[in-house]
Amino acid sequence: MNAKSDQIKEQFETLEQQKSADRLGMWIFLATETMLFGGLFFAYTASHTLHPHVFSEASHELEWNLEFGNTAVLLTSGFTMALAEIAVSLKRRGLTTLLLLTTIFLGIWFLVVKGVEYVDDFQNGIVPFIAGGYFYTGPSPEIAKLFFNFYFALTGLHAFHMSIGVLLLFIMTTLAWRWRDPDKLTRQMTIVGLYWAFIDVAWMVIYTTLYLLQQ
Amino acid sequence: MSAVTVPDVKRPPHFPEEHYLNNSFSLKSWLTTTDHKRIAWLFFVALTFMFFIGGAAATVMRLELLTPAGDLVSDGSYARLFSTHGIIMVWFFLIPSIPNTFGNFLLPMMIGAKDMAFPRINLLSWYVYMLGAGVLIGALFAGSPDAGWTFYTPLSTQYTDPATIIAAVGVFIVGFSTIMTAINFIVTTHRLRAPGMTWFRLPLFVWSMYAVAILMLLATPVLAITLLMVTVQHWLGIAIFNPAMGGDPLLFQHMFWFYSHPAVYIMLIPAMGVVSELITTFSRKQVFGYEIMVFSMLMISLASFFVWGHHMFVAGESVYSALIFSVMTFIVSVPSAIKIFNWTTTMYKGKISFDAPMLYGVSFIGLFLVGGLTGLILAMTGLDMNLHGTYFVIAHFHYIMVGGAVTAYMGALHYWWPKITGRMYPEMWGRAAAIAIFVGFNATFGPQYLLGVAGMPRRYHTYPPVYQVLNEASTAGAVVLAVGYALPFCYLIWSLRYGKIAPPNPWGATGLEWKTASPPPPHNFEEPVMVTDKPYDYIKYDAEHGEWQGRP
Amino acid sequence: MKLKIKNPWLQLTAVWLAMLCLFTISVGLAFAPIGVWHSVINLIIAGILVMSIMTFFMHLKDSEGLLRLTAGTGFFWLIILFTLSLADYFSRYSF
Repeated sequence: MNAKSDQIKEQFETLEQQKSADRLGMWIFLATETMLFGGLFFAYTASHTLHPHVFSEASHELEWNLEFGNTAVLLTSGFTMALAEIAVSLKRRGLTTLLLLTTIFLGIWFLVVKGVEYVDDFQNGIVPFIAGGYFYTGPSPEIAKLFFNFYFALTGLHAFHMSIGVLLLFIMTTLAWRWRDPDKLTRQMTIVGLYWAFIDVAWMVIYTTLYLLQQ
Repeated sequence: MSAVTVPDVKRPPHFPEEHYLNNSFSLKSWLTTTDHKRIAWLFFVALTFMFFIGGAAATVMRLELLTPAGDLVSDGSYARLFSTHGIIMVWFFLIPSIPNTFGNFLLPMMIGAKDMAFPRINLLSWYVYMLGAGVLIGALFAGSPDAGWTFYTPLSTQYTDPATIIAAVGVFIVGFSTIMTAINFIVTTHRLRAPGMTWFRLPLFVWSMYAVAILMLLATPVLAITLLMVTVQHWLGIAIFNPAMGGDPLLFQHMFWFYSHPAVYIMLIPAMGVVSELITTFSRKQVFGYEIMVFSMLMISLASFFVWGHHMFVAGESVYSALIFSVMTFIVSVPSAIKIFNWTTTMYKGKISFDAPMLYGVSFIGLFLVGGLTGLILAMTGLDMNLHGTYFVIAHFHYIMVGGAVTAYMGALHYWWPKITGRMYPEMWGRAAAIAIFVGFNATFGPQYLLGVAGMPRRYHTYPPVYQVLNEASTAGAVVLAVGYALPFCYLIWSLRYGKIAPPNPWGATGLEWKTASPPPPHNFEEPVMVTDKPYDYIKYDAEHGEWQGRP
Repeated sequence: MKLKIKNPWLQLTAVWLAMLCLFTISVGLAFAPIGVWHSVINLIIAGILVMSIMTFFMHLKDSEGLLRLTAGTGFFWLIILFTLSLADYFSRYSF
């Protein structure tokens, strides 16, 4: 056996093989995430077909304008993450760190605005599962609860994924700051970048269907 | 199959100097191992434990059904017993059974790799499984789930013991273990095949692992989100599946069966892979129609997603939908039928020897055939109206799951036992157990078909006295079946110390896993592997090694 | 990541700006008096945005076929789930 570089794990022969295995693994994981979000989304769609009018009216309570800016913020964070991946592949430490920090900043901004919307929701009385949080007066308030529950489930699941994403970005930033092993970091950033972009994909679908379609 | 590493089968058997079991002994070395062979052992021990818990629940149920009156357990306890039995056997034994033990052990060896693509995720999969199993056992102590293994809403969310929801959380957790293993299987098969191991040189067992991994990946997340919604509905009182507040219980059934029908094939496809290996080895003939076998397996993994509605014919889905699902169900039986045809044709004019694994292999074919054909009866909407709530469904399901999947699991256990442990099991006892399982199984579940046709409803602990004779026959069969499962447990443990030392290739089989020592070295192969041949080329094997005279 | 002759910085910037424009158009059209058509257009634009994120930010344009297939698999299986189940929902009360 000829000596392998210590970058390569034991079960692989070449670095290219290892990289392609990591990418394939991540993409398969994202396919399962698609099914996870898709399942919840299907439950929403099916319930929508049962109560189209109630759902449509209830969705007017959501703050599309707040989330309009927020969606732009999220798209931009996907953009800065993609740039960060280029920067690290060109071995530019400062630029990589800066772009990662920008991505984190935009991600947290998104989460904060999301939190602001949740507080507004509570004040507007459309939080059915908290005592005193529900005094919606539109058509069929009992059935409209279903819509609001789906709204919180979908955006909550998304925010949960996003928080994990921010955590991963913090780890990447630390690694980029230390800059011990730029080649390894490049591979890791590709994987984290895939995850971060997937969060964008999920949000585009959620925003379009929950906020826009009913207007 | 390999041109490089051909051990001399005629030398007296002896253990290799260093192998994966003796390179370290501490408990820590087992709990932190990333060796796929040791992780297979971890799963094997955990699964055996869960199998006996689930089996104990079934034993009590069969005893209760010995008499028409409810004299052993109350109706509530009976509901807890069948729910526990179902949940444990489906999610904590059958789904991980062959993939997580034999798949983990064999997949890298069969494709000539040193390990899985992500060994640490493989280990994490075991820990997640243990966490899920721990939560489930916690649920058993907290009052036991009693809404059946299907968690139907609103029963499971509104009207049952809260332990049902804890059990649902356990199943939710164990789903992630399944996903991690499946990601490993697919990536390993794609990226780590040895030079020369082209797609159509893969053993059928590897193909079955690949097909089943696709099913696991695409179905399990839907179950995860469904059970999450059930849990949230229970804890926060929201109404996704609650018809009283605008929700839809059929929505739950759609989503649950979108997972759980493919899950039946998750349990079955690995068994098909195992049986393909057994039949070809003990017939000493190439598999008939190798490519067709591969395509039929992939066809099953696609088409099994089109049929879930046949579980809901009597649940209130639309008649048009029911028609579509009925037709689809007939279609999905075609690839299975092709496989049965090909197995029998493989045996035709083969040089068959009936060692214990082959006995399991042929009983699989028979039992799976019966189970599959009765499945077609249930796929007809009109007949299903009458049979859906009866023991006919129980018998059909167990013919596929126990007669099919568990039989193949036992066959795999005996077939690869020499490779895994380096020792032979006692052959006579092995055959006795295989026959006991076949006889006991048919005696247990055969009468249940008749009970179903006669109209005995499932899920009750009492029944009218007219059904007693058949129920007694069923319980008597269950005793034989229990003996059949207890026997291997005893003699396999015995063989760990006293069994004959196995040669590297006790069956004269082709396939890379037989080209290395028994038990294999820590990284599977001493020399790099190069594949030059088709799989199952027994003509070439016999030409190189002389005609096979049976096991030494 | 392979660097093509084209400058990847500029390419990504162009994609990002185009996505922001499309998205703004989509939100604007949601309030236009064009009846149900706005839903159709919203969905098409969402589809385009999702495709561009996957193509450019997730590098599918430089990836081998297997990764594109994997990316499409989840969506294809969702189509199965939606089609066969909604077939039930839309015909359940019609006989």
